[in-house]
Amino acid sequence: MMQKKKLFFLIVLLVVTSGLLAIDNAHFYKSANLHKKSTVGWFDELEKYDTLDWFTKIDFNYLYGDSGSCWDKNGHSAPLLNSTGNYDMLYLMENVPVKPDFQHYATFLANAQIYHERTNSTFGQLKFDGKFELNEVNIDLRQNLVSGFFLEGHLPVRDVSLKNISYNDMSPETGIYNKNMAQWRQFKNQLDVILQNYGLNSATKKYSQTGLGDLSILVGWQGIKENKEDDTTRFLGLTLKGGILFPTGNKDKTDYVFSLPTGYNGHWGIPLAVEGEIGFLGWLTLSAHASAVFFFDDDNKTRRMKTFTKQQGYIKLLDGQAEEEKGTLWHIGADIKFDHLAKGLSFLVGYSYNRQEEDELDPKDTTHFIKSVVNSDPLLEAWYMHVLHFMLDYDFSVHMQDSKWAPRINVFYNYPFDGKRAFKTDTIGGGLGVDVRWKL
Amino acid sequence: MKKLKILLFLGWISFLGLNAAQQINQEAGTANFGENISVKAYDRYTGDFYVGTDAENGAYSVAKAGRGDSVFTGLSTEDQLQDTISYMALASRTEFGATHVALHVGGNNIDILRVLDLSDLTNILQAPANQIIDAVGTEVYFYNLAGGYYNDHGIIFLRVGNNREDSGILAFQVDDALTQRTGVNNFAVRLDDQKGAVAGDGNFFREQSTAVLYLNTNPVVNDMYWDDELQTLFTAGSIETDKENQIVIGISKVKFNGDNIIISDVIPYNVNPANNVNNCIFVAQAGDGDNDDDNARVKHVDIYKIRTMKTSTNKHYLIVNGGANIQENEFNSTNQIRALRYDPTAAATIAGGGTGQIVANDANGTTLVNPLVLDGAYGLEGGNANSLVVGGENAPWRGVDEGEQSADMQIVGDTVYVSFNGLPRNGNFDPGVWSSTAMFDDNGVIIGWTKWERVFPSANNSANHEDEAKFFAVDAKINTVWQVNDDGGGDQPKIVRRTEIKTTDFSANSLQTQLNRDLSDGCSCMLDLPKGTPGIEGAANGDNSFVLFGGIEKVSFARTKYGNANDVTTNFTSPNNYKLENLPAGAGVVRAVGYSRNTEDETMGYFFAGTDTGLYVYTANAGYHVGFNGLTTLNAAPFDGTFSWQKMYGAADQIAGPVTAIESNGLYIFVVEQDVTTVGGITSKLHRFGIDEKVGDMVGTHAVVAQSGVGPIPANTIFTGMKLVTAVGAANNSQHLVISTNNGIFVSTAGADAVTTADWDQVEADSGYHSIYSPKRTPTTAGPRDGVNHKIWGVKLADDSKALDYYQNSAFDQFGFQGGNANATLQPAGGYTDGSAANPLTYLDRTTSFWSDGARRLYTRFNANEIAYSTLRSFPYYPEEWNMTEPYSFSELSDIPRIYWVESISALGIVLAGTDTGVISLVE
Repeated sequence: MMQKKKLFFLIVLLVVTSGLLAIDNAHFYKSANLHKKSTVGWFDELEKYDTLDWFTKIDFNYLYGDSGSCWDKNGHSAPLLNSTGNYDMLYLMENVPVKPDFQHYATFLANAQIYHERTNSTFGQLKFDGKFELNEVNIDLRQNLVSGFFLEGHLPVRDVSLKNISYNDMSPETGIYNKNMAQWRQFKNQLDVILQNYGLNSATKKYSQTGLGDLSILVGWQGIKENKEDDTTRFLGLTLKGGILFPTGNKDKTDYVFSLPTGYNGHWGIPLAVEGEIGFLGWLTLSAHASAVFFFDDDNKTRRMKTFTKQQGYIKLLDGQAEEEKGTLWHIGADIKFDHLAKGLSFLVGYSYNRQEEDELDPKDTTHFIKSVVNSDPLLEAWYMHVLHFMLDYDFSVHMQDSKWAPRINVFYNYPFDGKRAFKTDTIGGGLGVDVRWKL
Repeated sequence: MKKLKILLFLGWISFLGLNAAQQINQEAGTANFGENISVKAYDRYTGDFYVGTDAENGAYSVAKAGRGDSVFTGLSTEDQLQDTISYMALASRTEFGATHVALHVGGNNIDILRVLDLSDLTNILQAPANQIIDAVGTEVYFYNLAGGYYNDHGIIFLRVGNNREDSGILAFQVDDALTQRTGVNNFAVRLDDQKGAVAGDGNFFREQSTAVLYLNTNPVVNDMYWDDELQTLFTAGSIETDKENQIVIGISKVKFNGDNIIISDVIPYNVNPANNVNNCIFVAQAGDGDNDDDNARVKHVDIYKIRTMKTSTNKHYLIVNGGANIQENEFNSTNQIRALRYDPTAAATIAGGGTGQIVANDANGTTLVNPLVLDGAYGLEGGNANSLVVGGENAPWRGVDEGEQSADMQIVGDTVYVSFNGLPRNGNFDPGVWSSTAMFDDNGVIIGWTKWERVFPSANNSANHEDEAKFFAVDAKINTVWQVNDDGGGDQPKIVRRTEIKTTDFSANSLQTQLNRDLSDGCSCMLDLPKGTPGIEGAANGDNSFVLFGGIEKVSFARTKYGNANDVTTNFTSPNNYKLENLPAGAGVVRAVGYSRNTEDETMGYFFAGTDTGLYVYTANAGYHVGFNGLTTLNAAPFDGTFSWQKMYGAADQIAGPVTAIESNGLYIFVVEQDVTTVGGITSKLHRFGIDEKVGDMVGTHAVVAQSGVGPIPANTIFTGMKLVTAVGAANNSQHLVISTNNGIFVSTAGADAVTTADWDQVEADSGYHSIYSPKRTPTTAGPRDGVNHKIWGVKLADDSKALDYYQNSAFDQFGFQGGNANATLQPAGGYTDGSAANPLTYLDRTTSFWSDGARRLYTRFNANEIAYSTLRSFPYYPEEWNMTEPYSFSELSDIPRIYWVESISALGIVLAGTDTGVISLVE
């Protein structure tokens, strides 16, 4: 009974200390990777090497993911680039200075679309779709110090792309304002010219960017209390860590309608994380973990911003400087790990809830931008994703009990099963790791 | 029995439907006035409509009702005002609406002026009999009244005395008391039959006149009108002479000279018509009586009504009903409404008389020269033939006998409104309230008028008298029209009605009901074809008038006037009067409907429809797609199944895109096609097809006469609208094309029949126009009856974002056209949005559609920031006089999400608007 109380207390402790994702992991465009650290080699099982002084863990993994759909602002399934709902082109030009002049044919047509307002229908609405692809490599290094303290580094490298971008005209087939209306057809024909006038590429132009993600360096402490006399509860573990997230990733591109950063878009961050583990029967480990990244404001960022409350979608004609307060990113999760079920083979199934709170922009140019309008953009609102994690790994150290080092390999699959304002990007990948105990 | 009750009920409902306008009751529970309404006044600043009765009617002997009132308020609460009211005038101590009502109370032989203080109905100012004195100082009775505002005082004018030798004009200043402001000894200033003792003293007799003995009748002052801005009283009267070379004049002016008034001529004393000229409207010289009409011995001038007009182009005109007549008992001018150019700055005709003369209607307002003539360079017309004929022709009632003059007249903006109640409707008389609006040349000078158009809903045909309007008033602020009449036809008017906006509950027989059934998915466009349009009439249907309404793949036809007795259609359930004709499946939304006659065969006509998929024509199913030969009813050929809407044969190759505008001059049709295929550029085209008996042959005459990127028209120019205008004064009044675009207005430098892509002038190149509106191209009475119009309004994109370049506003531009090459010029130069003297609005909310009869101006609008709003606004050109600092919003229309067009139905006197569910009535 007492043990149950302790277990419950531990779990509650883990939950209440939960924060945001500790490293560059979760993004709205991809499912988060497994938050738990990789398997630690058992070697000779003389001790838990997790906290062994000067123990070193190095991990590389590669993953791929793609998606053609998303969860929209209501949590419903939607085409990939339509999470905000259909793009209402009637308001595209609202409160936007005309370029190059109001008589320019494309501007004139765009400006004229507002004249169809209040049609009480889907007239003037476009539904955007596309395909997202992700290739990602993660490099992790953990270097134990002494007394459970350790240093940890993480650096992702990503290739993100949006392609096959297209849109459907949702205007009604019938009615006085229908999709065959000359002025509307002319507007669609000139949409790229309109975007060009405002420094934007074609709305359907493929976007691709490869680069570093955000580097994070953390310091932590891990403590493990083993109880070899108890056949049921074999150990309890607690990990605490915190550090700095460096904005080493590429920012999104404001000349693209649809653009993604490879990191957190230029924000410094303070990641904090906690993880608790409890081992049973020698082969079953339950863990719970939570993390948070508190981002620093970027006080001079070029952003495309809404100029009118009824605008929605990714197409925003006007850009400007703004102070960006990025919403805190956090997660909570739990895993069940069947540890070394057969020799070095382990299987893990886990769950994580990943969320980023809403971003807020404070435009510098208050002539053209109104803060409340800018921040009415659904794309700035919070997103979340529920992810199931599956992993198989093999620890070769069980065959190299006298070796200073041993490799590990793993394969994994991350499946996002629910969310809001997030791409439905499941990812699959594999990894290679090495554990090194410098001193036998 | 039950069925009978139902039938009776339905009949009652239908009858109610005829009286669409709302009756304004005398008081709660009493609909009609207890006595005949004898006088009326209207205060446009407050919107109050004042009436007086011809017999004691208690507190309602004098009454008023406001814009939103459904009953009158009795003003004659004091006994001394509860009597016959014979004359009434409003006076104001401020510039902000009437403060007092001057009254002629008690029937004949009245020598006390009573003035009711509107702020205290018990306070009745009086001018005693000893102040009502004639030109020689004798106490007399008074007759006419006029009033207004003058230098922070109210002002009232009386015409006193009925003796030909000593009658005159008195003036009273209204403050807390009345003060005589007339002249020396307070004697009336002379307005009698004397030849002026001082040259040009305003009397009816002119230089050369020799003796009063040759006047056949006493001169009569028929009307007086005080113009607050010009600070001038204009008098109009009747005078007749039978003595050779006697010269008589019907108009004089009265102005203040220091503390006193002085009456003077409106033309220099030495400027007179020659004795062989009989048509100088307000002045005539008797001839030698040799039985030649021009030299008739008897000449008389009868000006029954006089008002002033300050046009949107800042020109002044005197609008008069009446004119010069020859032969005793000949009254041919009773149905003549004429405009006389008036220059308020022209030199005084006598010392101290104050500036102001009637001048030639030319660019400079040239001073008239002797001998005075109507036409010609120095004549009244100033070289602009027929420019002074309001309505382009006589008013729509016969002018033969005395008493056939207009019953009431009002000027608002550029528009003249008149009413007629003299006789019931028949082939000679079309009673009702009518309007005509001025059209301008490039100098802002009137060079024409729109055809007379009914403005109060016609209640019935010849069976009753409800259209016989004794009095009326047009409220340009809220777009209503008041009318006073006697439904019984006995000249005992006791009923006051006011038009209203109606969006539902139309009567079963109404046009609106048929349209809302058949065009319930939207009414996108319309075309009104007034009476007299060539090709739509026949021998038995000379009055035919039709209206076409476009919807989604269908067009509704309505016959709104028929026969030869000025009958107005009231039952649109009759297949004779209404018919729906579908276009072929897939034709798309009808964006424009057009009509063309065939100048080679005036009995032949064609209907066209421009849709999202091209150009359609209503043609014979068999044969060679010929046009129709005359129209009778909508239940006969060509509406008997032998014709149908068909894509114009052969034009598919020439017009591949949507058609958004159609015009015709009888020789050609002109069609605007939109390019909907080009990416990264845009090309609009204006096509011309020659009218031919066989529509199929028309494609052989096809030419593109304007195209983006060709000739003077820059690449990527979007044609947003197209109109035909008449270059008045050019050879054969040649017609020119006007295109509104994102790059200004383009006007064809060559006639429409010969224009090529090289023949275009660009004006207002820095403006972008969303659309253009013009008055109807109504036919002229004389050949070639090709329709006259030379005024357009451009609805342009404007920017009120304080230099942010948003261009989320609109403004109105009005263009006048020069004769000859039809060069267009903004008139007035600053645009047409707001004529207020102080703080005019430069920008309006975004506008899609504009309608104006020259006085009332309605436009559809929206503001994207608003969630719930009315789509329609009213903004007359001189909003100040309507106490408006911003456009008026129609709360009745908050449930109407879109209005596609607004237009008057000329035959019915209603104003309709096209909506997503059919039509609504803006004037009903």
